[in-house]
Amino acid sequence: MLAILQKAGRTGLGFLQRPLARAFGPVESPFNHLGALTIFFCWIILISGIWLLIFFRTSVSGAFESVEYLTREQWYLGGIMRSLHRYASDGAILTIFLHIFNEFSFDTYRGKRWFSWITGMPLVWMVFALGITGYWLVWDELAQYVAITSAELLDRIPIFTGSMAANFLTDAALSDRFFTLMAFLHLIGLPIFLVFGIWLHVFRLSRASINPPRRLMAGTLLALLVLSLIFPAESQDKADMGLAMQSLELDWFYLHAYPLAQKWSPGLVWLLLVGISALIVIAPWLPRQKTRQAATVNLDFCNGCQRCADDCPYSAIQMSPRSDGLKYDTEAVVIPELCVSCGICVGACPTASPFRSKSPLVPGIDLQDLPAAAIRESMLAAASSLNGDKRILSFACRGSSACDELKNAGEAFVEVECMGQIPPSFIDFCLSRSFADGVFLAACSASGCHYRLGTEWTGKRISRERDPRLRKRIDDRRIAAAWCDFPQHAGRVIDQINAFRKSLPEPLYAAREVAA
Amino acid sequence: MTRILGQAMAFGLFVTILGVFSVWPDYRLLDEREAIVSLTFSHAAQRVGECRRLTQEELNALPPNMRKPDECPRERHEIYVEMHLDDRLVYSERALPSGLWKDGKGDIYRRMTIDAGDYALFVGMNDSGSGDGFDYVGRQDVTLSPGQNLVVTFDDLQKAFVIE
Repeated sequence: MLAILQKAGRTGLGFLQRPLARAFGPVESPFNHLGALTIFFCWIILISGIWLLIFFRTSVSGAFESVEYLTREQWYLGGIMRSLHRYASDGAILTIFLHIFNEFSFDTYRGKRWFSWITGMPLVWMVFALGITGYWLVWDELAQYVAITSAELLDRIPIFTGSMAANFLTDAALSDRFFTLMAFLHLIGLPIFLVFGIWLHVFRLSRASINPPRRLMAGTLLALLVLSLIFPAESQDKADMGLAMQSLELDWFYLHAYPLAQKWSPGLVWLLLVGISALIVIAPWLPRQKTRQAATVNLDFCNGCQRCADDCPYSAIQMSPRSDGLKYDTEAVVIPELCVSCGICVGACPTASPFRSKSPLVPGIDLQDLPAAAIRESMLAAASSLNGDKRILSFACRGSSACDELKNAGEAFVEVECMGQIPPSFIDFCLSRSFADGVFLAACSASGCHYRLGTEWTGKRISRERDPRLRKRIDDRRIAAAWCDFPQHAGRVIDQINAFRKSLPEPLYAAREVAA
Repeated sequence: MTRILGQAMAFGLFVTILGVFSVWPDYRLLDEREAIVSLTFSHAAQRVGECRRLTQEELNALPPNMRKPDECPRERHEIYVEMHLDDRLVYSERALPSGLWKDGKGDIYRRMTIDAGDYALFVGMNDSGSGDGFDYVGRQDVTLSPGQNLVVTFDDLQKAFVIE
């Protein structure tokens, strides 16, 4: 059931992701930066909010007029700031839900990654609370509706005595102090908790993407500015407690649940919202992901170079003072509770070299379930089955659609946990020893990398931007990569391999004997 | 050039979604000929038992800061409220007193959608626990205009319903 839902999710996302990746490139595609885009929206909200605050008056009579002044008389700045404030807030909701859906569809929320998932849930509630209190402050008819409905919802919580909603039925019942309270919540209280929540959310991630690429930021800001000029945010009529609202322009991003409070009842709305939130929070254990053994350090081969710690996407490796008396200063120590067994550390380890002939292939850090030696064995076995003039050896991420496709097509390939598990020396080994004429990497896209950074690190290692780098003797034309994480990619890998085969330079006419 | 066009289209689609769903579709709360009648108040009902005057001996036995002349049971009755429009019952509710000792106020809050027009409004409350009748009543002929919010409350000082 879960697999079907996730596949359907990936299919849906694929329709968005593929054209976006084509337009923005695989690295700068907005789908790679949904979390960071949300934080960028928060920056826009903060800066525009500071401008609005300067002119905002926290009183029953002053709130509406001050916002109207900003919108009408100071439209060229205050009006644009207000529009940016609203549209960036709406944008944040959109990116948040895409972010959640993306993580669910790619199954990157279970197992040892539960922490980031469940700490995201309070953030969603806080963002909604911020948006709702923001609409409250404008004190137009929408604010009146938001105030009454929010109060009716809060009245349903049994910890409150008296009816809060009764305060919004007559003008006399409302006081200026109420606006001071709402302004405090909207401007100080909730934002402080939000910042703390964001810190907690990315606490267990190494190199968490906080800022999107500059071009993406510039484009997003420009797009919001254009929207603000063409379609500026405006207030509805001033709140009047003597009148009942008949029709409203609702911001459906924030207020989609509010009509349900009238259609059903506040209690049922709470049940729905809390139920959905609870389901999301326990989702990492529905069902529990099989845990694999954490990576282990082989101290005899660890020289304390720190590359594994630098490359680990989950901060699961720490460098500690040497404990075995060898001449190196530090040694890698794996924190099993954080290790997701992706093998990216193995790909970073300079001792994970398949060229070793006199000693067994035991790198400084290795996976128990799929050690480097086993990958070398698979690689040699796959290479031995290659024939023809332009032999291509493929590597595929475990669980990707490419594995099934390559298997069905009878292509020789090596299955790895993550493409980041392949040290560049393995590619060097294949090509320089002429086990193959080309190496094809059927990897996840950078945004869909199951282990966050595997695809990115692999790309940088092969392009010689990051240690361990691919040796310069390797002709780049003999390496190709394809994305295989979306169901839409199914059926395309073989075509891409064939296209790669055609584009290969002359075959490597060297010994084809596979070393034992 | 194609990529820039693609990016422009992506941003365009994104802001179109934002612009459209931040105000559309309209949400209709009331039909054009409807109004709202809101009944809301908090009221401490009568106590379940009579207060008893303490004797001087009993007062002397108490610490000086706790010498109150009367001893009253804490618990209060529930509130029962009915509202009628043209003799048609439109709302009835029982509200328990708040608090662990059931000694606080009972809360009534209800917003009702009513067709606009002329009505004879009646509201009654029983807070004494007696089986029949109302301890407080309010009557008024009202004209509800479309989109009006008529608020009915209970003034605890005047011990009377206020219809405004």
